[in-house]
Amino acid sequence: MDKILHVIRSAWNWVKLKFLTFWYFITGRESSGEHNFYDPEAAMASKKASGTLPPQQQIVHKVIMVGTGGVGKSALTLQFMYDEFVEEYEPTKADSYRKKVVLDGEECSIDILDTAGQEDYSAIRDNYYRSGEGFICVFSILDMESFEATNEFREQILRVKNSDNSVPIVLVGNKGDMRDQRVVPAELCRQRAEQWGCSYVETSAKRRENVDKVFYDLMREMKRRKGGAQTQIGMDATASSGRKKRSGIKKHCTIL
Amino acid sequence: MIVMEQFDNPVAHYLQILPGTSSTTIDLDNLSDLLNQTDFNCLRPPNKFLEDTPHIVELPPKAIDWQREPSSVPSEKDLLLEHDAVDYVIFREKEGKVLEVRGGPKDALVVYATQSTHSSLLYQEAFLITFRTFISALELVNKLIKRYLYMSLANDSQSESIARHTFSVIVRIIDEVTQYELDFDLITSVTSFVYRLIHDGNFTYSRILRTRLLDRLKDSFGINTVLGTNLCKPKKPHDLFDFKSAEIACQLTFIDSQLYHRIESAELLWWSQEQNEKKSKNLVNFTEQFNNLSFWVRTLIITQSTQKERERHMMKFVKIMKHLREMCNFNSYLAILSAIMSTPLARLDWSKNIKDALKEHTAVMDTAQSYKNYRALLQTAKPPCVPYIGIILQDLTFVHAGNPDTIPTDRCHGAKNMINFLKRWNQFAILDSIRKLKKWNYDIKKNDIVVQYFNGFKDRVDEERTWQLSHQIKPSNRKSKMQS
Repeated sequence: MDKILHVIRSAWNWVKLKFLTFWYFITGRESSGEHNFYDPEAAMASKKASGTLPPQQQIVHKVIMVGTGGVGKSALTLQFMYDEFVEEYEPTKADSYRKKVVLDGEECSIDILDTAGQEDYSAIRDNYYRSGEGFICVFSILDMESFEATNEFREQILRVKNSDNSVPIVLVGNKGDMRDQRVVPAELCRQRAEQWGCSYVETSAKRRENVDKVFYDLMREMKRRKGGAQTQIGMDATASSGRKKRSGIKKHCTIL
Repeated sequence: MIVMEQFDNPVAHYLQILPGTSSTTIDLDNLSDLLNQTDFNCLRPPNKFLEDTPHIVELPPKAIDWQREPSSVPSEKDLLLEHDAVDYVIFREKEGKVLEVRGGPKDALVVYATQSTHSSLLYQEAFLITFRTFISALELVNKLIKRYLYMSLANDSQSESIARHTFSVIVRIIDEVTQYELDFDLITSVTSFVYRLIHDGNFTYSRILRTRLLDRLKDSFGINTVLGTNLCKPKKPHDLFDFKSAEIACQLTFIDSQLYHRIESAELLWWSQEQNEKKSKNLVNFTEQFNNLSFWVRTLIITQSTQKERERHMMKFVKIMKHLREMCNFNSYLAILSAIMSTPLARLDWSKNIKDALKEHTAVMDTAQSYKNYRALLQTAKPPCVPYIGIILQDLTFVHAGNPDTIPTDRCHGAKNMINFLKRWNQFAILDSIRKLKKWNYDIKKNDIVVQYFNGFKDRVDEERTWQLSHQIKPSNRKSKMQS
């Protein structure tokens, strides 16, 4: 009896598979198995297609912290995750970088990837960025080099995100408690943020100044973006193809 | 194929014959239990306090401690000359049971690590691995020499035992001292101590210490001894397919394990605090090897002119990766995997064969739940093994940022400068997992021909170029893809 059931089931699976392949053939869509193991364009398209989440599933905002070593990234993350009491912290626990938050009255989760300490492993960075939906780009206002590096980090993010200029980013100048020793002028920081089309926040992880603002501002923007993708798929698609075309031309110039 | 490195370490022997250390095996299951009990209220304050020295400026304790200047040595009642410092140490207590050391004044921790009774071997290990976070090697060695000399002058058996114990700790420190620490002052301190031992007629000890110091001094290391060869240039340059995948994996592992074995725990701890390339030289070499290998792999694949050749190279690296995983070399394994999965390569079109072959590997790189997949893989690995150090560095960085260096004064009756040893337990737990792996060696002989072919992984293009080539092969515009 089991044997017969098994045969029927595998036959049904085969038919289903063939049908799906045929369907994808007609509609011109590739089946998900045929995608590259990572293709940013395909990933974006599939995200839009599966934009409507079942209501019980909680939204998770995936945030990535970037910036050179020693600017206080880890301190920012810890302050946000664990509030005032960071003491006795254990990083290896599986849930140590995820937190439930209430964003504008709506419950959601934030998942932070902070690779502080791994900055010199430049070859792996690009792989880490991929899972990010929003980025916090941190430098120290006491260290010009760390500020200069932010441009590189952003460039790398944009590349991984297929030159999508609207990827949510917040530029963060940390160590705000030592403003009297600042090396990076505030004007310069604001200019850069303007250039990037993002917001600039000055924080002090030590005094816990503006820490929540950074994360909540970013989450708000991520939420808006995700919401936008749900409601106006059609509009968004035309807009993004136009944008991509532009970036394609730009890329071409750099090759020449 | 696997050989255990010889333990020609007399200290291990000393520790075993010392009285008062009944258990000789370190039980790390205990350690994880220990770290799980993290409530604050279970502090057992010390029975005695040292007079607080007024000249130390104590910054208010912060949730996050920035790299603070080490406070100067207080000239207190000399704990170093005491047999037992147990009264000065803060312990963790739960339900009336005294657990491990929670903290204490610097000198009390030093004495507690070298006393012959009422101490624990686990604590001594943790102390030896982490002391650099609150005392420099030079300062510690000087303190221990003082303690040794004082104890060796007394005639009672307890003092003798303490002297012996103190000496074994000095040897351990010298054994693991880094090139950075071996400065003029430290060498002078140790050599004068050796002369003193000769003067006292203790030739055994003087010989041991002198040999160990010379071993460390001779131990200069150039990366060329691993990556260089003496071979002449071959008439026809080799290519990737001249060698078996297993052989390439072996040679990568040879290089990695050579570099990995040079990294001292101190370098990792320092890195988590200040990222100083001079201090953590061996670590920097190891990281560079990872990056170079990864970019070398990308270059080899993406510079091939035809799709067929690119796929052929890709497949070869997938095979090499498989061997690396079997050999538990996670450093090179992740270096190649991060190359193959890097966006410039991953965005290109690949045959179904390759995609299928990669399926079992891609999940390892997943960062979700604090690298759950990778950590699980590492857990199951059997030594010898080369881990990926990046995650260890990250863990250490967070432990450093998330734990204060000293115990807040309101938690220990207002006493200042109490070293927070719980932070060190956490660091020890992370470091010990990889230290254990260093006890094993791969039985691999260097194959000069393969190493020569690697050419120091210098034949590689940078990230910028990789992207350009990727866009040449497949333009980023989605529309053009549809039209074609």
